Amino acid sequence: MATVSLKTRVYKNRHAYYFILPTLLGMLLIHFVPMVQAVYMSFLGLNQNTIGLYLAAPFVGFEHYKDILFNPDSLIRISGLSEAARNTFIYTIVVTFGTIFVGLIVALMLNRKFKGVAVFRTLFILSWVVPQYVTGLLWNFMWQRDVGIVNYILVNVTGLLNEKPFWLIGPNTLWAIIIPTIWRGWPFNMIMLLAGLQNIPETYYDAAKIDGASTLQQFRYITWPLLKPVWAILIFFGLIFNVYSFNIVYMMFGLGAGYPGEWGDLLMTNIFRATFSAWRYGAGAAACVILMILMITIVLIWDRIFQDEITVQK
Amino acid sequence: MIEKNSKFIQVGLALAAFSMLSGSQAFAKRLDQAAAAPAAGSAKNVKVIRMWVMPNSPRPVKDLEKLLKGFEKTHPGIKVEVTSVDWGAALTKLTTAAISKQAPDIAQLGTTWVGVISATNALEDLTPRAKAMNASQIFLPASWSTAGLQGSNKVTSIPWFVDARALYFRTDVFRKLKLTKADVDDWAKFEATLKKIKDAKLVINGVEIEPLGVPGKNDWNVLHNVAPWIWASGGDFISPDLKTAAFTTPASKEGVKFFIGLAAKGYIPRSSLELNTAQVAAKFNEGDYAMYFDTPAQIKLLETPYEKGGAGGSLTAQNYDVALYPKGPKGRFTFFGGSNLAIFKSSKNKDEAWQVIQYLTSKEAQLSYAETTGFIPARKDCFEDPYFTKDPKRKIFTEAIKYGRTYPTISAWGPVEPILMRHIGIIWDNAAGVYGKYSPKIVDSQLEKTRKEVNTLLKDSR
Repeated sequence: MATVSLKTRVYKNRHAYYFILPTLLGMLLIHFVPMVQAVYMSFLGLNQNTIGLYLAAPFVGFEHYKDILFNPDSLIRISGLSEAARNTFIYTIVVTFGTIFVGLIVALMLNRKFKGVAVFRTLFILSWVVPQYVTGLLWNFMWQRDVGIVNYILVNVTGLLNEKPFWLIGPNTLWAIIIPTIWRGWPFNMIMLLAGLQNIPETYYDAAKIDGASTLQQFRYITWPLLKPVWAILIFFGLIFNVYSFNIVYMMFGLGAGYPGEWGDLLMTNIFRATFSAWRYGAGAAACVILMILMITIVLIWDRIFQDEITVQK
Repeated sequence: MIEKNSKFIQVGLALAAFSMLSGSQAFAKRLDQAAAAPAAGSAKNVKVIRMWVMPNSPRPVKDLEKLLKGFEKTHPGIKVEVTSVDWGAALTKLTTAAISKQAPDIAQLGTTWVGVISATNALEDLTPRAKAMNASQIFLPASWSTAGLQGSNKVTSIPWFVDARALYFRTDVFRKLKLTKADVDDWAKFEATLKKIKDAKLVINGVEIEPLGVPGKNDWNVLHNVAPWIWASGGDFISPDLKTAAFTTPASKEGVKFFIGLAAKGYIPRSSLELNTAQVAAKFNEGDYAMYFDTPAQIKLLETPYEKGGAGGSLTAQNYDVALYPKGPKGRFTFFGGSNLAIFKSSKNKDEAWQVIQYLTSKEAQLSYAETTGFIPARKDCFEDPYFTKDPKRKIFTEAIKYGRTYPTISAWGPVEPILMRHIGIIWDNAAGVYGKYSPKIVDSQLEKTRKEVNTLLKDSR
């Protein structure tokens, strides 16, 4: 095949570039410029004494990075950064796979033909429509030990527990943020997976049935592999979205003024406090840059694993 | 098929980006219009003063605009444009405004923020203007002490209102147990009273009365709740020379352990420790607690009928009174919060902004705003008004302010607060039984950690 010059290829695809241009400009203005600024800020001694100088604050090089990575006694480290990292890890994994799991179960149920299926599809997406900050506020009431509906159901209605547990203090706090996030997030995954399920030809299942495949085998060898492009993308979105989760913790625990506790603090709430409440803007920016590099690495690993599934076949 | 889909996706993304851009253009246009409002929306020569306030009342903008109508009548050349900024976001917004020089003309500052925002050098020096109005003599001394960065000898804000705290208690509970105000006068009596209420296991209207409601760590007042007990035991947060932390002195420890120990002894129900101040107040109003600490704004709430969002007419509203904070071994103290008004250097209408501040800090405006919000005026002469002298509950607050104390207005206080909030939060969790049985050793270790962190911070700040 003859090699086509770059100029020809650009000209040939010019309409595509026209469409991409606004996105590119938007990305540059909204993402790239602030990102470059944040990276620059991470090299500055920007705190409550130098904030007036802003980008002219003293240059401190990699000091903040050294503090975060190698100095366990630094202010940013001792403000609970490691606990927040642990919580974020657990939270991200459980929420990402939890929302996919619940979404898949419901999508499989809704992929059948029965009366009222459209009504159920609409009803099931209601929790996704609730804004995140409202979810945080609502669940704060639901988790309350004495008057919350969760303990009422667990103890008074079902008798599953003998004593009402605390959800908003102690280790249960982590569940108090994980469960509402799954509750809010699964409908989106359900919609995506349902769309994927509807693209799988019925004939595959008919052939499998003739060959004597059980329902589980049909799921294992047809549904799951053919849904791979969907759940691969959902894992990608889920990991990024959940690592940067902020609203639910902010709203559930003192509207950002309180301390969510050793089991409720996430990286974003921790960095937010370090940056804006404690006025350590330089160190906060460095923590964000480290997290960004970590996330880029995760995205690259994801890309390696799922490259074949997401590449457009020509 | 896949290629076709990808084209759809590309078109979709391009359209989304386009709509986003056009949306942001519309937003930018609205911002421009807002900035151009003085010329476009008002009569010739009318100067618009932009003012940011926090939600001081249920209808913060309307209530303040109503108050400012009197000013605008006498000053036809000035129009005040009020914007309400949520407390949670206010400090960040003020900081951003200060740095970007896109600040309003006047801003409300929480008294504990004055130091750190003054240090940004974004606030107008009001010293000559304050001298001319004899401000140091007009305002409550504790409130005046928050008017500028400590040690700078500059006035960068003018006190607006204060919010000293006191003890709200149920008179019906006290009557049944033959208790009086004198029984909460000092720490020993207060604890004995709590024990008496706990042991009595009183049930009123089907609700078992718990002795004391206090929010734990999920709250914005974590520090303000503990501070009076630290001061009353002779302790403090920072040493008098402002160079080192002072939480680990025996006196400070005693204050923390006494107060938080009340939860470990069961006088503060554990369920209260997961709530915030508003939720504890609501439970007091619903009749769950015999006592709790709050600002005078709660009186306003208990006087406001249910249909208007208050708790007026409830059993608690008909059976409550207010007492001073119990006296500790080294005296009686209450946290003295509140807000000041500042003018930003970037303001182009400083004289007009000052006139607005002068109006808002006049006796009449202060009293009127106090009636609307429930807060206490910052001016001393307001307390001679019948609004305070003839109301026995409000009178308690005028007495409470004599015992008012606040944190040092230093630039480092901003970063110190989250450190304290975090460790005191862990101490509350200790009292709630998160780490097993309550351990005073955890209190000691957390205070020690706090000391180390704050000392590092203060050292860095020098």
